[in-house]
Amino acid sequence: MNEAGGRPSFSLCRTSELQEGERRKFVVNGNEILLVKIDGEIFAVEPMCTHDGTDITRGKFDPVSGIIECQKHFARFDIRTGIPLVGPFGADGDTQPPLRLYKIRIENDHVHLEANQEWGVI
Amino acid sequence: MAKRGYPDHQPRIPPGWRLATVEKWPINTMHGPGLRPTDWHFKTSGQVRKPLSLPYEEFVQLPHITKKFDHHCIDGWSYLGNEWTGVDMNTIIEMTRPSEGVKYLHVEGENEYSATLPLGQELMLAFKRNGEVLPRAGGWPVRLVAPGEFGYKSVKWVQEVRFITEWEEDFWNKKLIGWGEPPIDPALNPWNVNNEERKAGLRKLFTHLLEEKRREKLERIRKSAGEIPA
Repeated sequence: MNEAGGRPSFSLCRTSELQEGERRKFVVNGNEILLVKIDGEIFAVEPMCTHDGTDITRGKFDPVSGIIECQKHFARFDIRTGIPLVGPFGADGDTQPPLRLYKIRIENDHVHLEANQEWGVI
Repeated sequence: MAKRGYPDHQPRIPPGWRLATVEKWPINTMHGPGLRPTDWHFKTSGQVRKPLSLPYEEFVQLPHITKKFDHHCIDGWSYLGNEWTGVDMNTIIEMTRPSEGVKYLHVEGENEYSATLPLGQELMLAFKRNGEVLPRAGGWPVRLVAPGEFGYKSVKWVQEVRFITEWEEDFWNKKLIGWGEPPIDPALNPWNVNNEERKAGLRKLFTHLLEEKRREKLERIRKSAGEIPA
């Protein structure tokens, strides 16, 4: 755990380790975090479909649009914002909560996961 | 106001619903299946004069029918024209002879899944879809088909039908699905639901269920790490 500016954080990996379009999962204190690099920017989401909790780490992913599709019931999310675009089997997306996003910051070529996020479990 | 429990509503798809965008049969299995049962019996119980206990081989030999029904999931998708083969609930009712005063059926599946439905509604205990024996994920050995209801009433992996005189909360009532009070809330008819209330209710429900899943996952991880005694 690193201390930066008084805010505790975890270093997950080097930014340069992540390839464009790559997905990499980490587990921190029981929390699953999926890092994705899209157009040079890194995003961190909880890879849990908000329809039924399926792990979407290996769901169909388009690294250009940033859309990930749950392999079980085919709900789709914008992985950059967590917003559900399509619900299960083509239903409206707004029946579901968004994917949980994690706060990260990039410092000295490292991806830092901020601790003490609002749900208080990291 | 459209009545619930009837399959022939117009328009055919509830207002606000979309046709499922998949070619394959959409199977929504949030709670199963478990291991394939080796000694399955279809049972009736509760207020009946003749409780039944039929093995699969005898169940599929009962008089059965084939009929097309549409499926409407509360998630907001419809899948039309499934051809189901199975035993009409009226056949079971004639065989098991419910006592006077029975008003409801409590259909019980695996993993404590259940649905309470009024007696007299059209219901089928299906063992085939489009001429094929049900796959395990689709409800094998037997699943309920409840036309004119939301899909969550169509219990997969049926084990028992209990005949009751008073309403009993079923699986989703217990999960606080959030729309109205049992026994029969007309708002629970797919054609009468307020779409915005439905969506808000689902978001609330899913948020609650995800919290449950996160807690369970965290506990599993901590147990395996030795932080919590197993």
